[in-house]
Amino acid sequence: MKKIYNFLLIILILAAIIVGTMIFNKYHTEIKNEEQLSEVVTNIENDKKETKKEKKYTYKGYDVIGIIEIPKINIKYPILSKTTEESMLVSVTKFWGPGINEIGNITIAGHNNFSGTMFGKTKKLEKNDIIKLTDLKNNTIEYKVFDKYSIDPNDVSCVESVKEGTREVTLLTCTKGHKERLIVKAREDNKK
Amino acid sequence: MKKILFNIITIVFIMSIVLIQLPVKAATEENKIIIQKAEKDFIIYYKNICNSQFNFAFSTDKDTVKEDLIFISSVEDKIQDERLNTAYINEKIYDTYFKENEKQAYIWIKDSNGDYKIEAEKIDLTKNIMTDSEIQYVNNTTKRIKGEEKNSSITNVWTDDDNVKHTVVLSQYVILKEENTEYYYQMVKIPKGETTGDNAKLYDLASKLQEGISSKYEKFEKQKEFLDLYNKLYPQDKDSKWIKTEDGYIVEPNDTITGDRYIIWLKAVKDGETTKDAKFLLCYQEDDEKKEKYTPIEVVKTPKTYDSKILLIAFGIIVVLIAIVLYLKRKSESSK
Repeated sequence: MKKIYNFLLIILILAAIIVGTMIFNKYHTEIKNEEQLSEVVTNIENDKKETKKEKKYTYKGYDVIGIIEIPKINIKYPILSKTTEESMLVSVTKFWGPGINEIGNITIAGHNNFSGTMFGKTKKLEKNDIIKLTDLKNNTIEYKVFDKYSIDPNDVSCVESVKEGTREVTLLTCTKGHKERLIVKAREDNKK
Repeated sequence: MKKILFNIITIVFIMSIVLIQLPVKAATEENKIIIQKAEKDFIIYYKNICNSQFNFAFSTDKDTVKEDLIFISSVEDKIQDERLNTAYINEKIYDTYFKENEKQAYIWIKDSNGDYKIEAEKIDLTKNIMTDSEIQYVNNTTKRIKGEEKNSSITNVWTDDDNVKHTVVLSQYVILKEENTEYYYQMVKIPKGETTGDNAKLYDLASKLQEGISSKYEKFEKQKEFLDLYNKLYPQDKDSKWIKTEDGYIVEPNDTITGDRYIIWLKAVKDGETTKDAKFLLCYQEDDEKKEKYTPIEVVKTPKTYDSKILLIAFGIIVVLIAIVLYLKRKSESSK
């Protein structure tokens, strides 16, 4: 009997080590990705200080179309042009809509990471919080949150503009596992 | 034979005279600008002559014999940087040739080689004269009634044939109002692409003058043209189309498109005195024109963006299992 317990313990400990290593790798990758993303954002910003000419930027093979910054939850990421399973692993992505800071509603999707990275903290956003979008011409527009709600994953109405003729941004991430989507809506802060 | 030769020579002679006369005749139809500096003080610019020194003479009789003409040397004007040579009429010349002759006389011009450029051209001081104050008036057009262009809070949303929604923020001209002053305006649209017609011409002249004209002569020409057209087109005081603006805001029409131009005639009335002015505005919404592509939604589902916690759960289960196995092992050992 003792031998069985020892055998089980060895198996379980081995399993714990393997799973533990996998968890460590996952978060290490996330942290490293965060550092790289921060570097990309800094490079773009430094570049833009020197020239306002529109230039092409890529990150890990994906086109960068702008930068999103949310001061309240302390995130700043390059926005990738396409939403795929792979691209969403490396940064937040444009899911639908016009270009950065164009009239209409741009929907940006990001993972709800347990570590709080990507859109892991967007649930903390409230009305009047600020979201900043910077385009590749270095023009930054501030958007004020006006709504937050959850929807069914099959409900795509969130990609439409709420108020025509204005600039809006929608943040999209999973909530309640993957059963629902958390939507945060913001509109250009015209009072500035 | 001799008769034929004589005829040929005569024809050639006559043709020569005609051909020689032609440049002189052309010269008499060359453009000139006359600027009045004071009651008896005028400057005359001749377009193709003003770039070099010349001599000029006046007479009240166009048939005056050249030998009787008293020539005076041209002078360089003192206006702006470019120096142009001008004929002039001072008080003495005015009293001698123009005063008793209904302000008309004739001018002859010789270049520095003594070749006649102008002969017996009529100078009429009652027509086509531009005064210094008129030049100033032209230069101050758009500045007499102060204001500024701004975006209004009005947007015009329309959808074109390609299902693209255009959102246009309408511009407005805001008059900087002074106290006790009433303001009126009329807005004249010059549609995009229209180049003919007096309004379009006036607009173009205003643009050219604003951009700056390096040639002084050409500038005077354009100023004169502008002044004449402005005076022709400025609406009459009693015109029923004047619109009174209480708040000083003049918004461009809803149907404005990029490239449309506007002349805004302005009138300010204070204590019975009227100030007239005009603004020349170009609709350049192309860069600002905001478009929202309206396409049917193709996406049917939002992407999966959840962070799988399965590893953590698995780790947790393993830890619990380890604890259970350890417990069972200890219990087994203690029961022995």
